[in-house]
Amino acid sequence: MKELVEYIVKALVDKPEDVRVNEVKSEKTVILELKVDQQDIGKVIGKQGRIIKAIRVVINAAAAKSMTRVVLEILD
Amino acid sequence: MKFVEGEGKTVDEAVEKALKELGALKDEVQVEVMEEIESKGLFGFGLSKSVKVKVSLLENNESGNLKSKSKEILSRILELMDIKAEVIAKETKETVELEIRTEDAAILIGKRGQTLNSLQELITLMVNKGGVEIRKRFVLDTEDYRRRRSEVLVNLAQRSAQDVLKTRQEIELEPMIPQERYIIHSTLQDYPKIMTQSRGEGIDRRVVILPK
Repeated sequence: MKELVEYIVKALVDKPEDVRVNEVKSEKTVILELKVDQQDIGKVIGKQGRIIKAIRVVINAAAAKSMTRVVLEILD
Repeated sequence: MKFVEGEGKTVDEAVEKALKELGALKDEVQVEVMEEIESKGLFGFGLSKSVKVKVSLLENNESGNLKSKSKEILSRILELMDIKAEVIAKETKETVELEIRTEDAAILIGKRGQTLNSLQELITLMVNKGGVEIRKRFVLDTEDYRRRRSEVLVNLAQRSAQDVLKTRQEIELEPMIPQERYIIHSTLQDYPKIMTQSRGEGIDRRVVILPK
């Protein structure tokens, strides 16, 4: 899941080398904490949260296969 | 024109090397064999041959690039989603169609096509970011979903139009992506007493059907 988020986000930002994803696992939930360069935050969120929403939909579809819940948070 | 020279024992090998250096695919380049050097091995044993080729990146490769690049990105995402799938890319004048063959189509489509549409949006952005100038629309499909959905939408448009005619009241449909709104607009464009508009911004944009 972490790798999926990394792959997508790195392709969207100007500074892929500054993309970090930290995975916090508990029993049925995975929390992914995403950190990108300050300048890139808008590119990941998008107008009205459009892009981050699309990313969340995709990771939730992937998570549905493994019966887990995934929460994606952006740290700033 | 950007080019790289490659050398190898065979033309294929030389081209392969050059492609790697260019970071290009075979259908994006032009290959020219420059020289074949034959040298006899010691005592005439083992004729060794080496080929030099010039591999040039085609200037006009953007569309081919779009196709292979989007296919590559989508395949990788599906792999990371743990979805076994085969991606078939087709190109038309205005679109690159990426058809996904998989047993997990239901997961991939999602509620009202939400997952497929999100993937479509991300792929468009990701390909775009790579510096290729986008001149085509990317359409993702699996198990003929787009055609089935289009039938549903044409139906919805016609039924709603009838209701509007009866009640003389406008009807606002649920939010849709551009390609779906287009289906509604074009279905109703020849209805004499009906008008369609889009309202709202971004993911909230929806078609409104009103009496003329």
